Amino acid sequence: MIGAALLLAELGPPPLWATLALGYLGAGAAIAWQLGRKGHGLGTVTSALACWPLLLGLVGRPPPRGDLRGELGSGGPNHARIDACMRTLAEGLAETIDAGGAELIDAAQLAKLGTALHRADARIARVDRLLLDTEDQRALVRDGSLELGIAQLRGAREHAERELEAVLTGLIQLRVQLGLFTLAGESEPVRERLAELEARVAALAELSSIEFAQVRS
Amino acid sequence: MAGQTTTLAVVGVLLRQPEQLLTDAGDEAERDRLALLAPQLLGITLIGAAIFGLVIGSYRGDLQYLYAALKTPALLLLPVLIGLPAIRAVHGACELEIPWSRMALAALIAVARTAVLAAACGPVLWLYLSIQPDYHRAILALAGCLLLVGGPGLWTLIRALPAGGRNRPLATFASLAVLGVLLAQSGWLLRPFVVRPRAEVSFLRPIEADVFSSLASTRRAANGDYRGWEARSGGLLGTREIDEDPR
Amino acid sequence: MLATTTLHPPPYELGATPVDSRAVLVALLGLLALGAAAGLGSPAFTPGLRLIPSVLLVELASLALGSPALIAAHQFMGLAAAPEALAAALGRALIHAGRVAGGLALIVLFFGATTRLAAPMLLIALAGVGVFTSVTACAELRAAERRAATVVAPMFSLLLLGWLSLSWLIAARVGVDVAAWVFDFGGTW
Repeated sequence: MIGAALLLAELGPPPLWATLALGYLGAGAAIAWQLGRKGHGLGTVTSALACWPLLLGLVGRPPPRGDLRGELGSGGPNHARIDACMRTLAEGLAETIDAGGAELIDAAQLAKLGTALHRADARIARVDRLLLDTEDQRALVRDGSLELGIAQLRGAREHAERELEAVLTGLIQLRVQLGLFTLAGESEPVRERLAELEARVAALAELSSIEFAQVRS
Repeated sequence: MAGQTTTLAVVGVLLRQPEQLLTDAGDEAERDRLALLAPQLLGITLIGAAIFGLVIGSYRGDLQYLYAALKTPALLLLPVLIGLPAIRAVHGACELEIPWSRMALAALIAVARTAVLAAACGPVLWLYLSIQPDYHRAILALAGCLLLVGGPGLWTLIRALPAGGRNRPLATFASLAVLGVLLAQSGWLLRPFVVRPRAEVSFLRPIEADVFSSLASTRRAANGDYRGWEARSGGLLGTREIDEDPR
Repeated sequence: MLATTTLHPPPYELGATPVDSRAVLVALLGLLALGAAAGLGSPAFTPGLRLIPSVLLVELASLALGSPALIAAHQFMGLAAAPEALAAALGRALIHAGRVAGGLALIVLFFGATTRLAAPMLLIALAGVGVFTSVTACAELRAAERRAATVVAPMFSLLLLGWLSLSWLIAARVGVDVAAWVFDFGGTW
């Protein structure tokens, strides 16, 4: 112990750059530990060691729900509209809570609804890309069965888009009902509407799977 | 497999439509995106920049492969880590308040895109360096590559910020100036990247002078003025004093 | 090529946010931080110490000496906005200046730690803070005037131009005095 202390004294204070580097890594370790405690993934925690200034916004927050699969690269035609509708709904919910109302819709429920809508939109976008890719082939190959398949795919795509459109209109109606709840305090219409929308989105996913499977066969 | 596919999907989106990685669904959604994407974007940055570093190190070979591969990710990340608060503040002054998570996500996307583009330029640069050009030409080739990939990266950062703001061009100019200056000084600080074929390989050089005096000295030398250049140590981290006479 | 992000701008409306005293305090700390960052890069102790309040002194002096003249001339000319609105606009400009200074402090610290360029960088940063103070002040003052009157009178633009020129001259003059104070007893940089 004494020997180690004497050795350290002989070595002298560490260079300034080493101290600063250790300080940076120490801060990173503290942030990483904090993120780990909150339940963030190993990737996020490890990233904090190197780039903790960029992840300061995550400190004290819970980890995200879900992932981005099905959302990335979709470029879905209704991407911005879905985001706008979800944001409007979230604002409406926040207003009802501010006005002293109870939390009618769980934030997790809302996030799940948004993710499901984006997935449906992503499916439509994938079909659009497929239809575009086959355009060139159609000019070269005259095949009756190919034409039939493409017509069926188009039909399924139109149906899915109509259903999505109906759900988005339903979301706007839900927002209006939230406003009524704020004024009149009637929560039942809000809950009913939300349940209907959730069922419709679930059916949209199932319907799309069935219709696109039929096209493939 | 799903994880690999997701990272590859991120790379694809990064190159085609990086704005798809952003969201405008509110602060909570932005933080979620940052938490989900940060590890992948950092990983892409590290790998892409390391590949570019390996190519730079190939000019000298030996340990310079490893040193350059280790330092190139830092070269891309350091300007962003230091300059981001200033960029956010100048945009705020120009009537565009940007949440920190959004700024961080935009910066990570920009840096990752730059790293991927740099890795893509790697083969071309390697081909040129493999014919062992003159040292100064090799430096110019490196600088040219960095400009080529840095431009889209900087522009990605600017375009990834929300729309709006009255004096946006001023904020954009200030942001580009800040990042450019920091990138130049970071490159000087982390040198050497390109090492002369018979020169000694070292991880870092002593902290001395600055990138601006070095560029001025190089310009003078190119014009035939070999006055000499005092590479004095400076700043908190400066070490010893050296006088360098290129003659 | 990148498509423009279809994102909604954040709800920042000129003059909508009242001047928060905590924000002003943070702004002042930002101005102190910029001076401190340059001070850390100074080899001599006393000039380094005196650099800490230097940026704050220049910025506050410029605003404090120029603002009463602006408000007085504005009211004398019979222009629309109330003095309180003008003062609030200048307060918001100070807040933004402090934030910019805080952001630039990190860059000045980086150069102070690795080069002998802390002083030139501080000058450039100070000029940057000045530019953004001017830009923000002009925007906020115009917004205050527009809220009070439907059309902004041409005299208001002339008044703003005059006030900006005066502020920069004051800042330069005070800057010279502060620089003389910083380096007076500390020897050379």
